[in-house]
Amino acid sequence: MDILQSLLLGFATSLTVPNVFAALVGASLGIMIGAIPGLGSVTGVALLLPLTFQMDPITGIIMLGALYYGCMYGGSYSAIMLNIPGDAPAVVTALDGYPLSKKGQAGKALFTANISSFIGGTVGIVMLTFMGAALARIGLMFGPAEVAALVVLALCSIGWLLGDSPKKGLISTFVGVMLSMVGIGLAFGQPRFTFDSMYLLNGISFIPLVIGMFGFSQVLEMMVNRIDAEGLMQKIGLRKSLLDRSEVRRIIPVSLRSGVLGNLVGILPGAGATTGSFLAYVLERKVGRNGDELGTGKIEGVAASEAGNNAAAAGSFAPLLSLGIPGSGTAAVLLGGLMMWGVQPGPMLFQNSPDFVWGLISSMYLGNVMAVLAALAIIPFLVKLLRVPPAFMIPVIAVICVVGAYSVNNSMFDVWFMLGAGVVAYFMNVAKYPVAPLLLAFVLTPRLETSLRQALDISRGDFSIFFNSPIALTLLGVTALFVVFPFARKLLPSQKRKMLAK
Amino acid sequence: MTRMKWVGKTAMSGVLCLAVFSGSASAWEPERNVEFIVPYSAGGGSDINARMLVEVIRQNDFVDQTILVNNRPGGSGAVGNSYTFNKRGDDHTIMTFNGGQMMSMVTNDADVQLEDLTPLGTLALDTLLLGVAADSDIENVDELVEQAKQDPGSVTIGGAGRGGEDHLAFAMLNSSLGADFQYVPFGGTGEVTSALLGGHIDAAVYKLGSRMDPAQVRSLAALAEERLEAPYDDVPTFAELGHPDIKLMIFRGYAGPPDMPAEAVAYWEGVLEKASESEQWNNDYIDKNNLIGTFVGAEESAEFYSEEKARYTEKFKEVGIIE
Amino acid sequence: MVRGGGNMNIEKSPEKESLSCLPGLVTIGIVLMGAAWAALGYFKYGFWVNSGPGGGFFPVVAGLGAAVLGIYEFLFSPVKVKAVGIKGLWPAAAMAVTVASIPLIGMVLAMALFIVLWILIVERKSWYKAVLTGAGAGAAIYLVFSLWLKVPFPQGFFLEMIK
Repeated sequence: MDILQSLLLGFATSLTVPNVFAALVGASLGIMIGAIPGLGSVTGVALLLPLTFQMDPITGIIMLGALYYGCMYGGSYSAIMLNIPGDAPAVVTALDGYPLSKKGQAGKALFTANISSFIGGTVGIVMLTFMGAALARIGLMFGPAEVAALVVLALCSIGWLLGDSPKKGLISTFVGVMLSMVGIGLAFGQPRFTFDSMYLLNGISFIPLVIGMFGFSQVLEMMVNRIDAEGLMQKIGLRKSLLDRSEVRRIIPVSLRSGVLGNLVGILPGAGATTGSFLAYVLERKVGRNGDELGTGKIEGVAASEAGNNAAAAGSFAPLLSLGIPGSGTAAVLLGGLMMWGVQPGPMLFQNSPDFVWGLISSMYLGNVMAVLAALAIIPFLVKLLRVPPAFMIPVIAVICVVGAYSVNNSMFDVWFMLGAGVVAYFMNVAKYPVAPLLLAFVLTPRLETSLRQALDISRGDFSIFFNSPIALTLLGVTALFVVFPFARKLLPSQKRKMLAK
Repeated sequence: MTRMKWVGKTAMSGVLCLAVFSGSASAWEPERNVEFIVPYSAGGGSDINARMLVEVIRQNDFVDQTILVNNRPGGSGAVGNSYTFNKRGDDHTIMTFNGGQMMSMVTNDADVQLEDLTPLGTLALDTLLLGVAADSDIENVDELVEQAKQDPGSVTIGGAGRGGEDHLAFAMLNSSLGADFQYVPFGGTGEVTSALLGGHIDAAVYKLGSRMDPAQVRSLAALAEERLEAPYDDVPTFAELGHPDIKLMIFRGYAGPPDMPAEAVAYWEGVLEKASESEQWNNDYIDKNNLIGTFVGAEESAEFYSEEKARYTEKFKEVGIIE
Repeated sequence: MVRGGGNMNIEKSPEKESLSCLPGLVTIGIVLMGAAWAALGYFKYGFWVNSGPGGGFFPVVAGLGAAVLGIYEFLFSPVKVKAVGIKGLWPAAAMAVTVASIPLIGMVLAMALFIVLWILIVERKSWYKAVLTGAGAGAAIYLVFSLWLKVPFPQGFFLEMIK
């Protein structure tokens, strides 16, 4: 088979001692950068990029690829252990990861995250290897109308995360929508709700908002409920943190299907890893065996989210390599790197520099393996870290929140904003308003608004653009089913409903 | 591979007279670390520009002190601009200053304007092109205009962002070609390209520096002053097509805090000139980012910027982005 | 002290340490925000423009939704919450003071001081444990953020003066 042969050729180029070493260094640095709240893969790759110019291009891209993967792995750590998602996709990881930590199963959650990251990432890379070009073509079929329909589907699925009181969940969702409208939207160009502050001109910064609403509010919570904090810091032996065979068996199918779905979403222009991990989570909630219990601290939830976002990350390389279109912020920075080395991504890339392309693809396998190895070595130390008593842990977490919020934009405004968001989220928790729907609505709504406006600009205000496209029509049909189905079910007075409400 | 090297004079001839460097020996030199403000996030165009410049300066010992890059993103550049503005009297602060940054000052009516900063020099220029997908029926600008005239508003042109370079280029096309096009803003050139290749929009405007692949996208015309080099050498400029007012050269320059003393300005101008002449800068930055290399001194840059600002303001008013 | 936890204290004397009107206040806050967003969205940003949703469309929909549901919540489903710890506001206030001091003493020192004072005053641990933790965290922040990742932290008024 031609592709297999090329891939082997790629491995022949990439599997040298310096390259393996570069991958290991890249993966370890990536895990560290990813684990720091406020710093993500875009910053990591941008910081390391100048360093790699001195290297051989293949070594350089291997190191960056491994760093990228490392960041994805590390991003889940603070989400699971401290309830501080380091980046947008990790918000979904925190939904089940942090409850697991509270039950004293942080180790299991961390291992689950990394094993499913590995599986999801590998699924993504395999799909990229064998059908990358075809997938990229499919991605092109998603114009504004189709993306809008996809986001509508994602938004409606927030409905399943509303919690005990659907009304309160809905209110939270609306608050998220309102907050996301701050700033100059791409669709309209007018500054909205900025109150003449230049800091709000580009909208509310997501990471400080998340650090405040998840992380800092957690600090406040811990002060009140020391018992929770105690549970978090239970002494757990490493052996108890390992996954047993039945647990591994539980997460493998989840990771596989989330990987496929995440990869497909990652290919779409501008959809990104967050939509990938979120839709994978929603899928798991619908089809998974323990679907209804997701959100209460189930390893399946962590697995779905992590596999989904790693596969989406791999997916975003498909348009980059076969069309020269960066599918994510990090891919855009990598594109800059590729050009610096004199490589022009595009349809001709596979023909013009096959050794480079296959070297890069094989390096993704390598980077993924190195990242999972480095991560497995790090987790035992992390689990030990959790044994630090709350008396020391609480002030340190508070400090991490401040430093993390500052580092995103080097801005004191963001620090103050983070503190305010933390207090607000604490009050919301007290009043039983769930915070997760707020954050997801915050991420998804601007995408919907932009795509909707783009589609209507293209069709000159004709809404039939949504119904003439088979893809958009299908997605909207699925959404309609999902919305109607629960209502139909509500009419059935059965115990099922009680289970659903959980 | 494309190679652009119009050093200085040719690129700016229409706008400016020759770039004259004031060769006076400068009395001022930095005594401590220099803060290099980038008003955008790490990894963006201005960030790459700044980090590359720092690298060139460091390796060639153009400046004795350490230069630290400091990203101050936010408000489409407004946060960084105002940070630099507040460093009045500190000659150890410099900032990247580009065309898009100045446009957002205009469209957002920002507190800190061009007049509040001290331009230090310009090292690179970029321009824009109008293109369609390679498999499109449209072969030239006239056909595109014709189609738009038959059914006003039916021809969609995509671009990156609203109120930025691409939108301004669109505004120029719309007002000078005598046809009614529809602008569709996207989050970045990557998204524009996929919409174009997927057939969701009819045409697109994009920067030369985004290195659109000629195999996928057929460029119809350039907003440049003169013919571009390969692989865009067969693309006519709008001036050649009889629309001399459709032109847009986007500058990548540098600025300091307000009222920087002449000695400090001369010092930084000298450093920039040396960098612009270095082989490393031209190979690693200008060529690889597909930009047009140039060197324009402080005074000429100031003049150029304020002329451009007037032009931006006028065009944005025409399309109703500002009042 | 640790195992006893704040929770017990609260249950013992709810009237002292509780803000049971708080959920209502939160709901009122959301209703007001929703009303403001809907009004600004409708009158300033435009609900329906160029035969499609305008800049005010989502603000109006979400604002009205939040306001209407919020009023319903407020009137018909009073929340039965367990007493709320005002204690939760303590760390926020302490951190606010610390953050306000950053322009004076710089990020790293402020963060280290916060940890030291917290462990000493709130947790009542021995001073050497406090200083050790504070110094360790400060050093880690400095090494990772300032030296390695080159994050430009505010250095503080005093350090700037010395330079």
